[in-house]
Amino acid sequence: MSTTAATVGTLADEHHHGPQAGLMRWLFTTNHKDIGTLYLLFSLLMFLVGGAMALVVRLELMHPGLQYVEPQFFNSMTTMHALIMIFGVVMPGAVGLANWMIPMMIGAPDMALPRLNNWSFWILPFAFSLLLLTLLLPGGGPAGGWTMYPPLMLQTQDAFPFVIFAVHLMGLSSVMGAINIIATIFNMRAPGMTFMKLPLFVWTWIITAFLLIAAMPVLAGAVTMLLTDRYFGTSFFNAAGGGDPVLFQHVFWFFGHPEVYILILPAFGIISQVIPTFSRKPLFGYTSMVYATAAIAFLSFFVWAHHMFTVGMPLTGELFFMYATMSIAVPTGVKIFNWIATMWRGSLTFETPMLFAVAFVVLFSIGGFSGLMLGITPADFQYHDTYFVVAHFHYVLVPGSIFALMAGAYLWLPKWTGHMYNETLGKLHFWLSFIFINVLFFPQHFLGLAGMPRRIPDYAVRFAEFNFISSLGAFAFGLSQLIFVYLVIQCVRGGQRATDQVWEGAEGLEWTLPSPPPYHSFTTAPVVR
Amino acid sequence: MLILIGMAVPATRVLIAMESTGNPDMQIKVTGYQWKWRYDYLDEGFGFFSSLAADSNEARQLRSGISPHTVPNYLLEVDEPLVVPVGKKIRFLTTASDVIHSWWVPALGWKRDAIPGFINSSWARIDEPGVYRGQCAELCGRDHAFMPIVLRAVEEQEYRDWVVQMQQKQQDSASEANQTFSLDELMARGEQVYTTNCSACHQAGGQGIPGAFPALAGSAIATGALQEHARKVLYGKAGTAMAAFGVQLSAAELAAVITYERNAWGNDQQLAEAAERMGQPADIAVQLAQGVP
Amino acid sequence: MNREQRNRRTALTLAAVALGMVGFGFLLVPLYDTFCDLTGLNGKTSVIAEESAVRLQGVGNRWVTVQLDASINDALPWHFYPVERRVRVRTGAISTIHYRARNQARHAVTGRAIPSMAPARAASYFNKIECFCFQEQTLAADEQRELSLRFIIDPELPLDLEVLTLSYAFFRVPGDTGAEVADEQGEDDDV
Repeated sequence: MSTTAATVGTLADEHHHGPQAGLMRWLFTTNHKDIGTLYLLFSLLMFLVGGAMALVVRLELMHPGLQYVEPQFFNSMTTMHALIMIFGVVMPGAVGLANWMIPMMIGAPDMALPRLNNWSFWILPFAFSLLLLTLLLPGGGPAGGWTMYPPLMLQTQDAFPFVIFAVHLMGLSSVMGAINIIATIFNMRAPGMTFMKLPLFVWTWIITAFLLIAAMPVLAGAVTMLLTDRYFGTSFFNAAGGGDPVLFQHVFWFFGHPEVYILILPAFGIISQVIPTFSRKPLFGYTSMVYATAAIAFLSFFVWAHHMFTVGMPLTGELFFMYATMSIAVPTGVKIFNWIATMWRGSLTFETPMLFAVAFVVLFSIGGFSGLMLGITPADFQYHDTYFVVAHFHYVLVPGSIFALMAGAYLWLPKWTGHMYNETLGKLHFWLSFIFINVLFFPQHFLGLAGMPRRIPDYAVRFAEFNFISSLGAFAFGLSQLIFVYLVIQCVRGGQRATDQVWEGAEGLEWTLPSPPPYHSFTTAPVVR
Repeated sequence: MLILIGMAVPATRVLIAMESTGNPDMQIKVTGYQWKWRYDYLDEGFGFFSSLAADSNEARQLRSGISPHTVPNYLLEVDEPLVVPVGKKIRFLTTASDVIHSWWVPALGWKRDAIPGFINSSWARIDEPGVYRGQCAELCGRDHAFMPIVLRAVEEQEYRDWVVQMQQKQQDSASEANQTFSLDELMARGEQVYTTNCSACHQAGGQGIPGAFPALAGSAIATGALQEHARKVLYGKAGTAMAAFGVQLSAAELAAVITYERNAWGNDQQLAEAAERMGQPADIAVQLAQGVP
Repeated sequence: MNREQRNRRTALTLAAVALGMVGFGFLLVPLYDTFCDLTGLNGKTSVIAEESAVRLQGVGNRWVTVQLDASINDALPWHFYPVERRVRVRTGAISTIHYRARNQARHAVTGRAIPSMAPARAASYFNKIECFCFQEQTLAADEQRELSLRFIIDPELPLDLEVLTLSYAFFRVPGDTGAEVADEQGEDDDV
């Protein structure tokens, strides 16, 4: 690492180049903090758009009968909601946090590839505009589900090529982001910052980035095959030409399952930062945490077929995927255990980030257990494609990924803005979210067990009560998120000044910088002992 | 870890039992269509379509004004249920004609995807006579929510009688092909057939859904040459949800629905030639036999 | 600069890996086919040559029932049905069964039959020696054709399998344009 100091020296000379003024600053920025901010704002915006779509869905489902929207439009709402929440909210949100925090956490001046960084962000607004504009095309937006199974997906009308292209762009953006993150972590660490000293958030991002690089291109391949099947006469998924529609599902889920962990591993990282901070204790079992994350990521490539038990696989295949799926419970259990052990006998305080983190641990476990139930093949024959599945993956994604992003936002907002956020509002936001997320999703378990299939705009009257409760929860949860929007604006504008360390129990390089940190994070590399 | 193994052992045992579809007493082929099911009794050599019941279908239209609470078994009733004998091991063979569907009756404890070009097998033995209801469980397009499954399990003797009745019915509909119907008869029957098979996309008022599904009211096809119109209905349009109804409906039903489409919604005023107002089953049968012109 | 070079190298390596994974996505297609052939996944029946069929011959002496089923895809204007609905055959003996197809259209149409077996587990024991599904079938206008299939069931067939269902789904070959010309004319009218 002898060359590091020299490099940092030259960058230090450029320090006087502060941010450009006006719009150009954001359009051409190569600064990791600016790009991080852009990512986070984009994610928040998409959260509102995707959330509005979810509310359309819940509105229609509030009572049996069709009151508000056509079934086809309903289907495109569920499809777009999923695509936006996954590719437009959770992934950019996590990349935004990575952009902001990783250079600061590892003692680097900026990301390794700043121009690439600018590109990987600015692709996203184009991709999502393209996706959203398909709603205006004749025939409407994509309505075949975010899983895009052929032959149904091939019936999409004019929107089809645009959706495929938008997915390509989203994939390209996230792969570029992943490359940047790996290059930064591998090459830009401060002297003495060895791999096993990296904060856990950085570790989970290394692993996530590798998952992205391995999985996203497979999705790109799969949707390209869809495209050629439709326009160039190939028959990858067309039985008539010797193809197989189930093949798409295999290829898709080969991407899709690692994707699940792409969504949740950074969340694990954030929680592993928050809990020690407010327990005022170092993370329990750091090494086992790193290995558990790696094990989850590795196993995620061998369980894809548990999403498709009902397509009719040979018995041995079903057994293999069942056992592999159940084995993921082991490293996940290790993580949950470590978080609880970190809190054990710590001097706990419950500021908003900690509240979100504790809720994460509890509610994610519920999602984990329902996941285990789904992983058992004969049980899945019954649960598959019902509201039980909807409840399961929303429990791991909303109180999982989204709550973790919220926890991260609250943890780092004072660092980013230099102001403390309004703690009362933060707590209010938490409690409303916590209560209504359960009102929203818990009844969906019962709906699934009672036999309600997913992706339906209308249902038998026997499902009416739970759907009504769930819809009430949805509206209350949706409205509570506006508190967060208000709180962020308020915090950016002003408030009580934050100290450098911000939180009493905060440890790590990022807390040694002033709040807000200078435009270039570490102009002289800190030395980590 | 021990808990996991404790779960895996019984799970494995159940799974093996569920997959032993070896020696059935009878076989039923279940075919998913957009958006109805077809059941073929392979041993008996007959089959039929099973679509959403008319009252549910009416109530489920956007802003229909009919409360679902007033419709018995809303969205869980069909025009023609699947009937099976109790106490027999039945092998269900699932497949599909257009896109992937999934056949699910919760009381049987499993669902199985219906995939075009492939057949999947599963089995059930129903011990209690009764009516079991279910739905399609794999997103299959616009009316995914509106293709329920009703399975009626009856005693062996009742089942035998039902089979004889069904076979008789199929013969009757074959002989209908030679009858001639009046315009009123065709219109009345045609409206029923239209509601069950066409209104999901083309809408009850024939206005279609702009951009997605073409209108029939005043359309060039429904007011143009009869033979062209019939061709579209009989053979469908490749690559769209417009199925080839020639294989799904009987000649009499086809004649009725085509006649209905040409006379409803003021289309009769716009017909190019008044003589082409109605089709007769015999004409349709001829056209079917002649095939795509 | 050393670090910049290193960053570039890391980036290029990772980009290459990403490209490689796109390739891998496509590689999954032949991998899947091979896997299906080996395991009989999705009920794809096996194909064997005449000579190897002889080796299986006369070994077993079990009778099993083969139920024949036919499906037709919407886009194909044919009648297609099995001549025999069910046959009793002996394992380890070569049997022949027949389907019949008739082109309803007034022009030639090409179709392809996709075999499928239930239970799928039986597929790898069901060996076809000669089958109409090996090639695409083109039927002239109004042509009727007898389609035959010669097969031998491996005597190793698990004992619990006594009733096998062989299903053929006939699809129109993609790109077969026989009737499309007529179809295009109607195109503008209905939108």
